[in-house]
Amino acid sequence: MPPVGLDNLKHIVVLMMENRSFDHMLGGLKAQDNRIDGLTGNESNPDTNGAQVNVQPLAEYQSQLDPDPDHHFPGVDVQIFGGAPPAPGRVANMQGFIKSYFEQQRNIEQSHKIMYYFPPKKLPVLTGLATQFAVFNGWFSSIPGPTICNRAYAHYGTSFGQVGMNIFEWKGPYLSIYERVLLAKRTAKIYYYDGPSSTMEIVNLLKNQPKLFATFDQFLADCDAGSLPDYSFVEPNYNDHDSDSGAEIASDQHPDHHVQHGEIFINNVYNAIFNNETLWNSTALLIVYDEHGGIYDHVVPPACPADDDAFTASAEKTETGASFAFDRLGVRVPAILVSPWVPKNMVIPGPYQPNGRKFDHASIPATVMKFILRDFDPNTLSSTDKQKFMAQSKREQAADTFLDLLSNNKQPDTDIPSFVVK
Amino acid sequence: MARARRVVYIPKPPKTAFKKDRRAGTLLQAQTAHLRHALGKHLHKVARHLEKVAALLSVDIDSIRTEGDVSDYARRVTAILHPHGGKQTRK
Repeated sequence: MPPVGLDNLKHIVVLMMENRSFDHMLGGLKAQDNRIDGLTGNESNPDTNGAQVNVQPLAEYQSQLDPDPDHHFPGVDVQIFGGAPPAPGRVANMQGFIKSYFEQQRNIEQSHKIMYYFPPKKLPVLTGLATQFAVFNGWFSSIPGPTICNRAYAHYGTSFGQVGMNIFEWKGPYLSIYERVLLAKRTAKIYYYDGPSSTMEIVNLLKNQPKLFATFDQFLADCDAGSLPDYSFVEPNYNDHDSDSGAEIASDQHPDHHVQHGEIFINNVYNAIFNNETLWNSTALLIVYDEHGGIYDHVVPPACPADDDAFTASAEKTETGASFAFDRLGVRVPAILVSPWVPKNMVIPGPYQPNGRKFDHASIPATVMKFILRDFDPNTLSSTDKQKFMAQSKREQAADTFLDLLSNNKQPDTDIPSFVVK
Repeated sequence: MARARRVVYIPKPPKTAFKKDRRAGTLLQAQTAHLRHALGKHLHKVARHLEKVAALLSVDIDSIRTEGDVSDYARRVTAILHPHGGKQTRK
């Protein structure tokens, strides 16, 4: 028998934020819970004068990480390998963050800020949810690179060989998870914030509109009405813009967007689910960041099984002088699983800890396939559709899934935090 | 009826957090290019908006510099590509 929480599960909601590392957002929690693989305060990187610079709890909500730290493939390679060029036997050491950031302005003082992290009290929503529900010590971005290719892993379980921001055309044979859900006669939606913010995944999935796309207002209405799809992917507001109701502040937390507004957005998603009791009891909400945004994290991204041979990125594409077989994960990011069926204050150990597990964004389609579509019989499809439905990239096949974390016991409502903006 | 919960108060950002004239970063620049590409790729779907599409395709992407510029372009493209949601801004 599956746990009661899993038996009750009807909806998975994924909220993907932007560009913050685990240590930057949640690393400060280690001081209050030693199980959390955060910061001791002794972690450091050398600056360009050779001085060791420690992490410090001095992160600000805005105007600190400007210019936007480099998080493109060559820059992340420097961050992970300390600037050592690709060669057999080089060792990942997470010692190149200051070096990489220094290159953008050649300003030593500014380069130290890449080591700053938030004290937990400055992020009450994120740290509140992390300590109430389940926090992952080992959730990594899928690629040591930027947004578009990392988000592709959440949608497709692969980036089709992309390590950058270029437009990618769907190459097959792997369908997006949304298309697979639709083939199984179930429901899925990408909720983008609004028209001026739009979506980051419109080029390839547009052919399925309007079935697959809706706005955040619709998400709120669907939560209220109890008509949320089986699988929902929520996108934050990616830019500052005017609207009929006034100024809309970006809520994605991408530097240099205001982090507090992202906190409020996370809370809005969480509250919308909580406020419908039936929905709350049957939904798992994953809050995760697409990549680290060039900001320091101390955990070395582990190796992983390579993606399909056809997707290997050439040395020209990686701009590092070496090809990349998608056989190493990107830098660690915050990830929190919210559900009343998650044991309170759960910490899922990372890959370097006892009983450790590693997750990345390919875990998202893998989880939807394993749990939402668990009762679907692909033999009811035509042979062509069955083939499409069953096709999973090597990375998705190898990815760990996360709904085994749901238990038999439900956290009481009275213990659940309600974040109220004052 | 609202269910009782443990209340935690959180602050909201200052009005100065809003900076629509902030220079658009690489992500928003890429998004603009993707939206423009989607318009061209799905021409058959947007044929009844050909005049608007032509105007949007003729925009010099390099002239889209700020977040406000990106949001305006995204709003216009999204209204065509996804008429069920893209016409409206949030209320």
